[in-house]
Amino acid sequence: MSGNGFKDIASLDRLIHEPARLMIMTILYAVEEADFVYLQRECGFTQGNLSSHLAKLEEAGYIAISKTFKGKYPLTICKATTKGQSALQGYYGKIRVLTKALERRGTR
Amino acid sequence: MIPAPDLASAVQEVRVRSTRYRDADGIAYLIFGVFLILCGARSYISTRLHPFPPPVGISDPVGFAPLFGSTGDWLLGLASAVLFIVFGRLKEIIEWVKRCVTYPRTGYVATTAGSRNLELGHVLMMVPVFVLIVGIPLTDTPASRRLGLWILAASFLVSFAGVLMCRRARAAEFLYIVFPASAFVLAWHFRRPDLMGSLLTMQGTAFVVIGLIHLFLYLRRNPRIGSGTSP
Repeated sequence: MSGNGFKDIASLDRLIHEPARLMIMTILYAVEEADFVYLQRECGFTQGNLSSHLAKLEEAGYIAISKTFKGKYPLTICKATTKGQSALQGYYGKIRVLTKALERRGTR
Repeated sequence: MIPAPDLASAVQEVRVRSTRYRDADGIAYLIFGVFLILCGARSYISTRLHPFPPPVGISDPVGFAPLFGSTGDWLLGLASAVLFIVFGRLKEIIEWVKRCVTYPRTGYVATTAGSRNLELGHVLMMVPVFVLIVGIPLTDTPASRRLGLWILAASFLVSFAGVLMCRRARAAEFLYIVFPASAFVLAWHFRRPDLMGSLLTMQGTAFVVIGLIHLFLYLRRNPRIGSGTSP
C-alpha cells in the first residue's frame, strides 16, 4: 500500500475482489470446512459457476479441495489455506484503509 | 460516512448462520430427546422394582443390595451400562443420521468455535446424567432425592442454557420454559415414586417434539438434491 488512497485500489487482490469468490473465501475463512452443496446453498450459485470459482481459488492456493466420503455419501470438502486466510485478511485491511482515505477526502 | 466492509462482522455472521444451519434439521434434539426418554424409562422401571420409600429391615446401609439383587436388577444395571455407552456415542449417532438426511440436502459444514462450545455442553450434560444413574439409586432417601432433584434441575438448566446460547438455536425460548417448569412442578411433588422418570420423560418429550417440528419443516423446505461433490 502506498497510502495514496485512490491509486491503492489497483493493488487490491483481483482474485478475491470478485464478489462470488469473496463470498466463498469469507465463508471458508469463518468455518473449519464446508462441502460443495453447503457453499452452493449459501452463495446461491449454479453448480458450474461455483465449480469454476473454486477451481480458480484452488489454483491460486487459497483453498484446498479434497474429495472424500462421509460414510457412503461422497463429499467435495473445501477448506481455506493459510495463504488464502492471509490474502483475505489483507484484502479486508486494504478496503478498510481505502474507505478511511476516501472518507478523509470527502470531509475536506 | 462510508460503511467499510469488516472481516470480523462478516465472519461472525457466517458463524451464526453455520451454527443455526447445523441445528435446523432437529436431528440432535430428536436423538437426545429419545435418549432422555430411555433414561426416564430406566428410572421408572427402577422405582417399580424398588418402591420408594425403601422397605424397612434391609441391612444394607450403602444401598448395594438393589444393584446386585434379582434378574431385574441385573437387567437394570445392564441398561445403565448401555445408556452410558450410548451417551458416549451420541455424537457419532447424530453424525450418522445427518449423513443420511442432512448432507444430501443442505450439505456439510464444520464450524470451529461452535464445535468447541458443543463439546463443553456435552461435558456439562454428563453432570445430571451422572447424578441420575449413579447418585440417586445408591442413596435413595427423601433428602437425597430432593437434593439430587435440585442438582439435576440446576445442572440441566445451566448446561442447556449454555449450549443453546452458544448454538443460537431458535428452540431455546421453548426449552427455557419447559426445563425449569418441569423441574419445579416435579420438585413440588418430590414424594412421587417415579419422580426421576417423570422428569426425564417430560424433558425428553420436549426435545423430541422440538426435534420433530424442526425435522418436518426442514424436510419440507429442503428436498434432496444429490451428492455433495462438484461436477
